[in-house]
Amino acid sequence: MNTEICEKIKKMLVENLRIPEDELEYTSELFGDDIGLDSIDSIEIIAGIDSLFGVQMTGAARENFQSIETLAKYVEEHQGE
Amino acid sequence: MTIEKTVYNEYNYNVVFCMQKRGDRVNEQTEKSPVKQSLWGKFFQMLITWTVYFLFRPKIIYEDKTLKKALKNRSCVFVANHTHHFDGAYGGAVLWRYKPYVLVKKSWYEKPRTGKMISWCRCIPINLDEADGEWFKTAEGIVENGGSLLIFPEGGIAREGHMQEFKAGAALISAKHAVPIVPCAIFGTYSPVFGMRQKILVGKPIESNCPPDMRHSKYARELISKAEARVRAMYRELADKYGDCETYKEF
Repeated sequence: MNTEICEKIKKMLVENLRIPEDELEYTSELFGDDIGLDSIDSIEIIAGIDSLFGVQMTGAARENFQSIETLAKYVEEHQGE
Repeated sequence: MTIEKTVYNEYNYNVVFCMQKRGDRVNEQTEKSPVKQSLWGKFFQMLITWTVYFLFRPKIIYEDKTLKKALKNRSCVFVANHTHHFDGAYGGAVLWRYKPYVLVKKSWYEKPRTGKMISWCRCIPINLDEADGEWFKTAEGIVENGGSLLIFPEGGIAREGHMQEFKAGAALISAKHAVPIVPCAIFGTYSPVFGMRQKILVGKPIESNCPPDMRHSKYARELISKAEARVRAMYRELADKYGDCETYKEF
């Protein structure tokens, strides 16, 4: 797990989606009971990831959006493509 | 540092604007001309506008007469009901004063001739089949630079004779960037030349002021339901005044 990417994603989620920082762990379920995001929030996540890392997540499978950790993994795998 | 970026994606859509990094100062060029369009694009867009005015003789009604000027110098998100494939061209033409970028379903860009023509106009492709962040990023760039958008939040034409529910994604830009939503009701059957004039009623802006502790998505839902109610009421007003044009069985 790349902590630097995780931290950047966390910061983006806190700033853009207004998720309280103390509620957000790297493994928190973003769309589940933990944070409770919905499909509209995913648009902001995709745009945020694209701005931060230049990685396009449009059309990416749902499981990649599960947590900060899975998002970071996706970014790591697709960076520089 | 300001990055001058020309956006030509795989659909070659016509958005050329200066993007600035968050927190950076806006340079003179960005302030002066935030959203640029190619010369040919401008000419083609003008041609479309004339054609729309000639064919459909649009009647533009403002709920409040001061709106015509007031909307000119500010960013806003126009949202309208969607009854016909011409709505995009019509909306873009009658709202030419505000130069809105129209959100167009990505599949239209894949049609050989139509796609090419759409790419010359002020349009942004949106993929409705999956969570698409690309349109949002482009729209953010436009709004941040003082531009406006025209969105059909139903996500498609009302084929079953009634206005569909408005999707909240359309209001997300508005919620995040505190840009007002302007509800518009499009009324008529696009009868060319001698038929009934195609009408558009432009409503009062719904101001966006997302509370600091509220998620943009939640606020966007509130905004869009207000906008939907306004568009329905405005459509009803037009139907009462001009008679039912039978676009919808119910609205």
